[in-house]
Amino acid sequence: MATHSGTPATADFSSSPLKRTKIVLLGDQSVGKTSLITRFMYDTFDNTYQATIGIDFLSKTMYLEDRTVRLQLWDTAGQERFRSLIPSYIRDSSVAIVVFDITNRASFLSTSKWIDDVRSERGNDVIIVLVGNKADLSDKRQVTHEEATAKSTELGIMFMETSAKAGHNVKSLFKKIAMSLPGMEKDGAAASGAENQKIDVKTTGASDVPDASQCNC
Amino acid sequence: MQSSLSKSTVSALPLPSPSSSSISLASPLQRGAALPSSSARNPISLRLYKVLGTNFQDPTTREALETLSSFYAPEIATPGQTEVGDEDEDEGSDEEDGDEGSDAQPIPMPRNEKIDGDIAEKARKLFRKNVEGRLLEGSYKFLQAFKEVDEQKLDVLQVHVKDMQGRCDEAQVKLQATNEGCKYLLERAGSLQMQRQNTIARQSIISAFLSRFTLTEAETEALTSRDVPVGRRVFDAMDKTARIREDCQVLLSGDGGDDQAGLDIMSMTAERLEQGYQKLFRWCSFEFRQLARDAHLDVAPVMSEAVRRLRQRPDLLAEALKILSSVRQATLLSLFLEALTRGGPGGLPRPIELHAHDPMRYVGDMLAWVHQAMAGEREFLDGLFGVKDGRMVGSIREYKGGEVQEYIRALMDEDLEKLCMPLKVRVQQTIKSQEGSITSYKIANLLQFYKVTVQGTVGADAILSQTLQEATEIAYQVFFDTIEAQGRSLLRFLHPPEADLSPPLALRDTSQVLRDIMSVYDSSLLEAPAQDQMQAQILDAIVDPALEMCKRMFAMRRDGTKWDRAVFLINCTVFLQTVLQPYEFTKTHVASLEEEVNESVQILVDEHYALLLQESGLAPIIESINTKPADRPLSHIASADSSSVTSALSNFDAFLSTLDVISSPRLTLLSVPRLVTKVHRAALARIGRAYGTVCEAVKKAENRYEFASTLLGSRRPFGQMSVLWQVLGVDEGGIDGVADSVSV
Repeated sequence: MATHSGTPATADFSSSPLKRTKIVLLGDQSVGKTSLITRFMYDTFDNTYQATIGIDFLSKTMYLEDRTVRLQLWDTAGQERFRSLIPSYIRDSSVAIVVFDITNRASFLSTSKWIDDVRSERGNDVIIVLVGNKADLSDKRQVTHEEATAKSTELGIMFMETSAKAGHNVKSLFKKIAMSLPGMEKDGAAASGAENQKIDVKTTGASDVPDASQCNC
Repeated sequence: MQSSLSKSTVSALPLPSPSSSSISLASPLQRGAALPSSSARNPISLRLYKVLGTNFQDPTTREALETLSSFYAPEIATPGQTEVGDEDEDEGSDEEDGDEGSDAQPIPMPRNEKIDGDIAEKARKLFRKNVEGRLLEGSYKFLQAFKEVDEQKLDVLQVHVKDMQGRCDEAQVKLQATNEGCKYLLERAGSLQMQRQNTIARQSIISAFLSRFTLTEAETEALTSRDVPVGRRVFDAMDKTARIREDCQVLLSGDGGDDQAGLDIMSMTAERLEQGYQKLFRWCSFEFRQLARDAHLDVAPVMSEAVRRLRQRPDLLAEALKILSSVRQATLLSLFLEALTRGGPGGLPRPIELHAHDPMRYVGDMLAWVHQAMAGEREFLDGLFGVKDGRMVGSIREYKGGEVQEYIRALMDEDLEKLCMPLKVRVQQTIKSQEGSITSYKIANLLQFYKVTVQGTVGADAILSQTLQEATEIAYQVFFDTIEAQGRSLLRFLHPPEADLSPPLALRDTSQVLRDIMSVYDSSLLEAPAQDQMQAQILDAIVDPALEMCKRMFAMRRDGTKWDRAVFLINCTVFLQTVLQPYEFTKTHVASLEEEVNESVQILVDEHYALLLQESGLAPIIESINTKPADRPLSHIASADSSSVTSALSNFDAFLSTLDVISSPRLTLLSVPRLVTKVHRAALARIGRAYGTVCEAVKKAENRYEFASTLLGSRRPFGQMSVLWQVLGVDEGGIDGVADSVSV
């Protein structure tokens, strides 16, 4: 009973609270923003298309080798009528995923508009990832990988091709984002260490991570 | 030995022959010489063979012989003894005496010859005696030796033995005494041992009991001391305390004799447990106060565990949560104000109030900020209470109920409460500062959208939802006020319609507003059913005053005819209709406007017909037909006599020849060609029927027209209706339909 040090804990009480990162998904209608989130969150794909109404949020904790991050995903509606709402959400997000459909050239062209929106709200204090979704439909491709890469290089942003349907590259996308978040492991540890020193007697940082990784929230 | 020897001699002698006895006593040499000659079956010879065959080489025989030889040392003849030994040997089966005799025979023979034969003889004779003497001598020596023993040593021994016995008895007595003495001790030891065993057993029971029913020092410390941080150790101690109480309860519920220990344990653990909860409470309160810094902080597992446990003490939890909610309220409020006025570090994101000039962006930013704050709170509280949000993205959040959900709902409500006032004030200001109705309508729409969005997370009864509801109502109120004011101003500044009876400028302006509102509605953020009611109201508020305005406008025209009024109203109404028509949701309004149009169309048809009738020349005849007394023939009425009819019909002929069946100059001001055609055709159809009526009247005998058919046949269309319909271009079957209904 008293041997609490050696017994495997059901919950890891020593880990410090995580900082949240807001990620907003942008892009034209039906490019697959919601599908990307669904794939990432539940690892499923729904073949029936349903337009997102308004703006919705979901959270997920990612456990990486050297850090744990909590991502708050903001799924926006691609429909034009919701367009005016979106800048208000870009405003508070530190990451913007701009999605286009590789089989739809128009959706690729409008990414410029979205990226401009992001830049005008956040300046350079933002991570922008250009995502070409529906990579599984390569026979209907209208936007080449090279073209999109060139654009991303030109704009100084990341680029990735994904397939929410096939589950291809979706995890890597979010992992890549998590890895490029600026120095958050230090920040988080320092901040919580100062105020929670009464609890965190034996915080060992990243080593606590694997314990809780089955926690799928 | 002696007896056996003699016996053997006796038995051996008589068997072969009586004479052989002398031979047996003869020298071995002689005997040996005699043997080969005697027959093989002779027992003596057999015995001799046996004797001769005997081996004397074994060490014992040798030793015996040695001893014997010392008997008869050189002074006394030993060979004689050897002879005797021979004799013995013959009879003895395998005794050493017999052996020595047979052995001596071959060997001492030469010795005997060397030694004095005298000694041998002596030996032979005295052997027994010597031996016996020796035995005697030996026995005597023994006797002497034992005598000595008997006389001295044995006595001493006896004394010693006696002594020993005495001692032994003594010892025995002592032993017995000791035994007696020890018996008690042993018993005592035994019982002590038993007691010890019992005690050990009791001890183990008690220590098991204690370990089961009491807290260790460390555990007590974990519960009571401030030095032990809240964590696994404290939780384990609390678990144990709770378990002790549970077990104790079970014990107490049984029919036990002494409940005192149980009661003690219960009261003790109750105290400890309470201390534990107090500790958790204090810790949570402290931690909650630390949550002021960040809008989006996650919950550490230890905190959600502490809260989970505190749920057992709702009072404490409620108090701690009160602290939490007040901290969060203040935090969110200051963050909100910061976002409004300061923005992010380094200027980006920009402060929300920077967009105050753009009402949609400004209100949208504020609402989005609140929405995100709400999301953050929701997530924070879900984490705090260990709730997993398992819904799919985009699916509707629903309030499931339950204790935890109730806590979360209440906290969400309180956390966001302080945001409501500043939000509402700003939204209200924004709405009220708008001049046009469109913006307030857009804001109302936006507010309503957020109200629905927020309701999904905090519930419809939440203060935030209520605030948004109120704000929405205010926005709509302002909007309605604006359009009503517009409506009133429409009626206030009236101008008579233009000469061309076209829709007035004011109506065009109103239509533009209407168009804008409807396009906002059509791209509404909300699902249609939520707003249909509202939309109907809006249409009423705009369309009704507009129509009223048109009516009043026309009333201002001094020379306004019925005809012009109808044309003007149709022009205006249809103009409104065309504005509304593209939108699905205006159906009912379009239909009600259609009725208005139909009414006016009917007026036009009537007027137009009357005028056409005048022009056609049939009017007096029709008039006469309609007014004539029943008993007078029509031809007897002045205005309908033959000549009048003839002139009317010739007029009609002329009318037909100049008639434009498509349109009429009178209808040029009617701006809707479709309705122009409709009115004209309906009127023409009625003209046709009027002609039909005239024909019938003329043909009727009772009207007493002479040459009725000539009368009718002299002029086109010669009394034939089908001809007339052809001329008028009106389909006979469609007449009624055209005349009665002017539906589109």
